[in-house]
Amino acid sequence: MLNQFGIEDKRVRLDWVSASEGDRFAAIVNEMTEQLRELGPLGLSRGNGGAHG
Amino acid sequence: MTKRVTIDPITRLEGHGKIEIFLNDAGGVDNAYLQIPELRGFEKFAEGRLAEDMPQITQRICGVCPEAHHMAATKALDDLFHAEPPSAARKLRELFYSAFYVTDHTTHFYILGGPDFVMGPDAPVAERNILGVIAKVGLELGKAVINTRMKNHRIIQMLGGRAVHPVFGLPGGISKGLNEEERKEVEQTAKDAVEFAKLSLKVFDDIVLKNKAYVDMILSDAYTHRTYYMGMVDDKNKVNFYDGKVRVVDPDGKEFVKYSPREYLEHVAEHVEPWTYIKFPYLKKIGWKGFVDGKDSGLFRSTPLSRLNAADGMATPLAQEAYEKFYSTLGGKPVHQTLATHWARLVELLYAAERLLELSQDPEITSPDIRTIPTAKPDEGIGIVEAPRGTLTHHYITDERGVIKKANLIVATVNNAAPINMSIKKAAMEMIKPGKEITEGLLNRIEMAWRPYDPCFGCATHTLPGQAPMEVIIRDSKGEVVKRLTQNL
Amino acid sequence: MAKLKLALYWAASCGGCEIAQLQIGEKLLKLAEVADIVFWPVAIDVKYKDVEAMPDKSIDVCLFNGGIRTSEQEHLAKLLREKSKVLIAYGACAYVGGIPGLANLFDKQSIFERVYLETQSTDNPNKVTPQTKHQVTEGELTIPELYDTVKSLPQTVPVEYIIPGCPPEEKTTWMALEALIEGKLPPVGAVISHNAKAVCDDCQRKRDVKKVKKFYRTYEITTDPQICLLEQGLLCAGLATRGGCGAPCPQANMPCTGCYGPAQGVTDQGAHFLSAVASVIDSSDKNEIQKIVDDIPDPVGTFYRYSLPDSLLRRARIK
Repeated sequence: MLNQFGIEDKRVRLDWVSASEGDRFAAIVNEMTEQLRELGPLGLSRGNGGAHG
Repeated sequence: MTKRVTIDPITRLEGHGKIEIFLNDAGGVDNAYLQIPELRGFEKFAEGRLAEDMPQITQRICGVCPEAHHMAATKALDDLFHAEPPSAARKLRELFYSAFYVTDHTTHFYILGGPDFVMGPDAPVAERNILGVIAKVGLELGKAVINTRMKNHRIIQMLGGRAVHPVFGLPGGISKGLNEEERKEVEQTAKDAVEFAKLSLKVFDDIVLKNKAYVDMILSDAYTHRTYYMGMVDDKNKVNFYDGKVRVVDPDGKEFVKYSPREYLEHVAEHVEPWTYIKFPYLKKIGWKGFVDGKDSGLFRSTPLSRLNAADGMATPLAQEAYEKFYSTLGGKPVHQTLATHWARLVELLYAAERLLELSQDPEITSPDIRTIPTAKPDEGIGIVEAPRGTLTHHYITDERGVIKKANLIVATVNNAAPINMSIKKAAMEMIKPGKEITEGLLNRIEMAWRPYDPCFGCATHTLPGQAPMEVIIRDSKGEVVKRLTQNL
Repeated sequence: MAKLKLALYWAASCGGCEIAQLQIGEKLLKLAEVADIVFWPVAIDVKYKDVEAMPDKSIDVCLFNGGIRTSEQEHLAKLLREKSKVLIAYGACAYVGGIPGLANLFDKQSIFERVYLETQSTDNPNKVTPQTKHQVTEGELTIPELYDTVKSLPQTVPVEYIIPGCPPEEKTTWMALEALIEGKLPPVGAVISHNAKAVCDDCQRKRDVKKVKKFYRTYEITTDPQICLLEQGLLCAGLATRGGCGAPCPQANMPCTGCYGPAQGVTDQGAHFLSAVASVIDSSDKNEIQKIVDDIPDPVGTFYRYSLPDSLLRRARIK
């Protein structure tokens, strides 16, 4: 459904991390942050009622 | 000094419909424009939706005649999924559609378009509304108007699930049938509707036709355009609202073309203007020649009058009698006088009521066999019905899962967009003459020019008082208001 | 008691709300006894400037239907907010954007291209599209600007109450009007309907927590009239949708499509509908679940039929 919204697969990730896997947790978060930084902002507010519609 | 006249008949606060009339230096009419200032883009956002959702999605184009969109879309689905509905389903759809016509034509004649006609254009403004009509025709008939609308809406709800925005249309059939108890109710409603329609024609006869001044007005040049006429006909060329072929006659009344839904793109095209959101359909083989009438211009009209002109008669006996009287009184076919549309609407009301009665007595009508489950892959489908306000075409192209790839809609009122422009201009030219004082008569005459079309973008379909509130502002070339005329404010 | 000053306005809508308001029939007369209608473009001609000239808060109650799509509709929403003590979003379009809100999957440019250039019947060799200002021989003609995004009324200005439905059922409209007439208004923010629970609570069909292996399209099956449609594999929005309508669609053997908006306490109707659907899937196998879900080719149009502008994402991203 998110594809219909124009949202890339890379923006969404589901992972299971146990409380004991601190390093893995940090790595996943870093990976995800980096990926999102590359993709840039969603820009969904475009045209939301502004004068430039 | 250049002047312009802005009429906002539809009100909606400079929204949804505005008329601009430009005057020349001498004070005569230069040109008139009817602007539609909104677009919702159904043809785009239908893409990606499921085909079977189209009857419910597209009917949100219009909450006044959702039944027409629901039905055109449902028929397009039959074609798209290659699923022929069982005979009982076809009959039930037509029964539903006939009940819809009874309510819609009744509303227009008595509450919206009729009052200024029944009361006459020169009656005091205060009397030209439904209450004035009731005072003139009697309280009994007034009650019958309310009853007819209510009972036929009940049929719409019975089959369609809801009174506004029905849900029962499916490719190859419908989701709900009638039981015997419901059938009896429909039959009684239909009998009453036939009597009501007969009475309505009698009222028209007594009040309008027996008054020479009215008949002269109907026949006057100010309200006449020689155009092509479009309407759906059955295999005997009789008027049909639900199914058949679209027939077009030329301004001389000769058949120009008769096409099946699948062929519509060969015959109808739409023109775009930069000053309005509405498009202007015309006959493709003749071409767009601008806002002009006559045999060389591709403009056609699609109204109750057009349907009568485009057919050879009515399929039910009483309506056929009324049809014959219509043409013998108005001097033969075709009738070009726009105001005669009101009368044509009553002829159709009688047909819809008679057809409703026939269908309610059909032995097959309570059959539970109302679905054909589609088995073929969907690809492309076109559905056409006659909406009360004109021929309505829905065209869908899907992928093999039935997801819409392309949708094209030619909506009933849109057919008449260019002719309404012309009618307004002609009426304005008739009323606004150099050196002649602009009076309230201008407002009445211009309103009478667009009323017969019952345009859906205007509140012809919504306005309660039976007469559009209007304001005409005349400005000089600097934009200063030099005259302001109002009615019903 | 002084008569109530009532205003009614329509923005991006179909006119069905007006028909719904008229459906209250003879009760309209009762309304006329207690209220003066000071503004109703369908019936009374009051201009922009007349509304602008009204003192702030001089309208007691304004029923506003339709979404916000053009510069003009936005202006009117703001104006009527200033002039009204109580502003009510009437119907699905004003409440959550409505079906025209599905246009938020596209933008103005692609809509224009489709409608004015591409449609099969359009003949437009010069690629003309409507312009907000256009010079004709005789002078200048103007039309309002169309926005990329359809918004609901509460996204544009604060509102006091909501009357849901597409259109609201007659009884829902009357329930609200009766509360107004009797001065028994609910707490601010309330959605007015007969049932705060979901449509399923109105529905007569039996539910027995049956799970499904396959979702069907409405045309693919004939349903049992006694049993819950979702449990028969139809994507019925009943669970995610506010009740009070009386469940007329399931009674006509068709699934609820969600026109009364999110059920009480639900923020995003589509997400709620999606999770309701997920909960009836009878499988824990990843591949099988994927196969079952693949039978839903248009999730946005199915789950957010009326409420895309009101969803958390509000619109699709146009790259």
